[in-house]
Amino acid sequence: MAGFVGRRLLTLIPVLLMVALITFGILHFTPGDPTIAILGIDATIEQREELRAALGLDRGVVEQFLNWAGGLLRLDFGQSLYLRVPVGEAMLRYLEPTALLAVYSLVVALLVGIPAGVISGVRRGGLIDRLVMGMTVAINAVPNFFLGILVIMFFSVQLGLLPTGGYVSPTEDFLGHVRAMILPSAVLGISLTSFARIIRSSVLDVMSAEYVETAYSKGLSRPQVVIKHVLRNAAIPSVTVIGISFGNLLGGAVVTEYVFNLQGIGQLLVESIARRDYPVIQAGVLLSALLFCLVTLLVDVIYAYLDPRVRYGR
Amino acid sequence: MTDAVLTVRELRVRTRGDAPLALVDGVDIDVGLGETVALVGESGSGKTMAARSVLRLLPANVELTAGGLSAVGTDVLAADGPALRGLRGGRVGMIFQDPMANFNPVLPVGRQVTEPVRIRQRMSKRAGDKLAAEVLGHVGIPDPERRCREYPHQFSGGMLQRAMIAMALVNRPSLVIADEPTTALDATLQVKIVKLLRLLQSEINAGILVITHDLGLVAELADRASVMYAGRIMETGRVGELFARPLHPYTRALLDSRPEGRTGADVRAIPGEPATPATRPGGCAFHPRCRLRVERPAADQARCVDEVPVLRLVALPGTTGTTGSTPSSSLAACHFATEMLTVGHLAQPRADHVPPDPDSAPVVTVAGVSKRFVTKSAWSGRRTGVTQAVDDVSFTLGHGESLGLVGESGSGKSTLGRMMVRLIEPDTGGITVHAQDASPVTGQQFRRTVQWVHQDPYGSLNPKMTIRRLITEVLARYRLASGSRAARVTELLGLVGLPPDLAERYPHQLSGGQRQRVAIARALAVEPRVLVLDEPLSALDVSIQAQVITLLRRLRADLGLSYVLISHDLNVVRTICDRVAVMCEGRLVEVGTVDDIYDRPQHPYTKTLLSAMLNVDPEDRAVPASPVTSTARS
Repeated sequence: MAGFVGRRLLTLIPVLLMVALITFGILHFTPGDPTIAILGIDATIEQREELRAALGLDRGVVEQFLNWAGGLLRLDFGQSLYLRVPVGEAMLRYLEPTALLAVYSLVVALLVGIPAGVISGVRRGGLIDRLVMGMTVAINAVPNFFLGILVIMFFSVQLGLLPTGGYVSPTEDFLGHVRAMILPSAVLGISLTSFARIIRSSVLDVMSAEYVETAYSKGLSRPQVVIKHVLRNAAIPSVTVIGISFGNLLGGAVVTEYVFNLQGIGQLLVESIARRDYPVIQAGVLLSALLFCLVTLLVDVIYAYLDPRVRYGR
Repeated sequence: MTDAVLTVRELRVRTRGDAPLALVDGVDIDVGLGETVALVGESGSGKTMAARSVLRLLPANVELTAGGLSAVGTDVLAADGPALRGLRGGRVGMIFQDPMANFNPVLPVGRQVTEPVRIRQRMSKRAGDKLAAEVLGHVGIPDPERRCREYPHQFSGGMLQRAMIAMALVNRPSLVIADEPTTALDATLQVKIVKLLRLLQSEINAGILVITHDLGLVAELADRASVMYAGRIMETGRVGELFARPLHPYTRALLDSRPEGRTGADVRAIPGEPATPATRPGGCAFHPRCRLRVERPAADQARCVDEVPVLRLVALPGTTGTTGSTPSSSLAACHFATEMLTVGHLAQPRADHVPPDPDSAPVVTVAGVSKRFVTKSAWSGRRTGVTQAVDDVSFTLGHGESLGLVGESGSGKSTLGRMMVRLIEPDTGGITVHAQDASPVTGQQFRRTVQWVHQDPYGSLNPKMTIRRLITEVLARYRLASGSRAARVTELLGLVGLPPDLAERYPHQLSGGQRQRVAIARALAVEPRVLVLDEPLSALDVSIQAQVITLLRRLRADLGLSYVLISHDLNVVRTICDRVAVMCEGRLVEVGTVDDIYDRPQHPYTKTLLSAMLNVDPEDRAVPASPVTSTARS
């Protein structure tokens, strides 16, 4: 397993290189000028040229790329053109809310989605099944930002229980952190529970498998059959879907971050694109790609754990 | 009979809903301790439903009623959850058909095998492993300490079926229900499994209820048998008498339609399709297919249509009216069962026989063909395994000749077949197909010369296309019969004995036999000279197998086709082929005429294959009833 993970990590290098090249290329062939974003539209050409020289934007594209790529190897992501801080520092600061939001949402989604999916699958056509299936359709039909605004209006404005938005770091004020994160995590987590449908359908598949019949024939009760024979098999196809959703979250849940005013990666990236803040955009895309690859690797490891046929490389 | 472990009276299983279908319609079963009883029937006969009723392992949409249903002293109908679970895996063990599908792929085999014990008593992990190794070793699995920790995909089918038997017997049940226990296995393995079942039965003295469509297995394993058709029992009796003197026309027809021990000309198909619960006719369910009924007075014929015959004892000639002499133990549900005793009543005409032309030019020459499959690591590209699937094979196929390619799974026969239709290319050697004028066939013409019929008619026909489109597609591809394609489709369907209106249907609306006919019709659309048939019968019922055998023999005679028949079933091969090529681990170990191979096999592997054939004659069991050499555990 260690060898497998090691080899997979090595394959990250060409993937990230490609991502770096493509982002760099796209950005530099996109019209727009960071100096206008920084100095404003009224700045004179001389002022802008001066700034360009200061930022190193007057050099050739290849040179700029090599400079940047060389910095990457030293984990130096450059200086933000707009924020005037090192990109690495900015990334870490903005990553914290995004990563924590992603993890909390995933926990909410798992806590709600797995039992809902399993029960719906086991008791197909029952009350819970119909309820869950109706709910997932309704939730999928409501856009995130709208659901977010609704819960803010109800819990924060109407009842005044929770803050309307903003981010509090857990190292500063843990209770404040919890209060700040409850609503966004719930909204984002609930919107993910549509994978309950996928769990349900894999549970249904597994329930009709012949080895489940064998399990009954050995004298197991239904809860025993579900726990010992159904869950693990049903988890296998769901893991991929959950992993992809989680990877997307790590790239920044832009809309939710905006609604709850969380200064996350998603928000940073959107704003940086508007500002043509090249180093931040490049680093942000690269980070998303890296996180996504790591999550995929994690999914594969979980896969191998769940399914011996994968483990033994058949 | 003493010590009944299973008593079933008037068992009925029907679907729920407004128009219930009777899947099982009034069936009685008795199994005594140490006795083996077979429930025989084709698909749709209700035999599996009847067997699963014993443990109430039925789908939710069916309803079970019975006059009495008692297994190992428990009234199954009245049993609540805990009582039922006590039976399942406890006093009643169950063996399923397909070991690969019936083991949970993500759990170690050993843990699954001991599960019936572990859910009943607390057991340390070490004790569980020890028990697993012990029971797996007992059913003949080598190195059980290591293998019990392995997963199902690391086992072969035969080994896994042994593990399944260990699992069913781990609590030393008094009754074992075996649902097609050998169907998914190679012939050589079937005999070993039968042997194992018999040995274990003698150890724990359990009663066995075996469900099967395979009369060979019945002859090999069972003491008594009940023949089911369309949810009812047609005939029941001791196996020896059943085979020697069938009292029901259906039993007789089944025996006549078996390829076992026949040369092909005398295989006699039962006309029509097996009745299913939805299509069961009134009166005697078998009457539309019954040969005894034809050429009878109208009153008799009407009786078969109107009146459901009951199972009754049939007195044998010479014992009529007298007591003391041995009465027949057979019961048959036929109004005219006594006529079955008159030998020759169903005497058969000799069917056509096609002598192969020994001087004909070859249509296919296979010269020194080899194929290896290399599995590579996805990461390093390093070779992780090399399988020599086909190893230096050479033979020729003459015009109008039928060659049987036999061997166990993994012997490379299917790979060779695929190379003959160029689905895969050989690594070395060449396969040449000759046209009428002996010149080699190339390019597009190749597929017009050699066609392929796939094993599984359920998977080989695109479910989204009508039969007409399936066949027209082929015609369009080769620009054949343009302008008259509808007529050509009708003609092709007629060739394989299907009505023209079938063309508008979809594959799922057809039975397995009809689908296989469609597959053959599609292959014939390009007027090929050679058909490569990959296990064309293995997915079909016994009576339907016989129909397809007859069809293949007729087509060969009418169209001058050559066949390559790939099969692990030597009995089927014998009914169709002129020559047989035996493959073992990629090599051709023996080639000869049918008579040579079957009567004077040279290679030891051929002898092994032949000795593994389940014989139709219960007096001549491949596995002799050995004296009980008890090596019981504990």
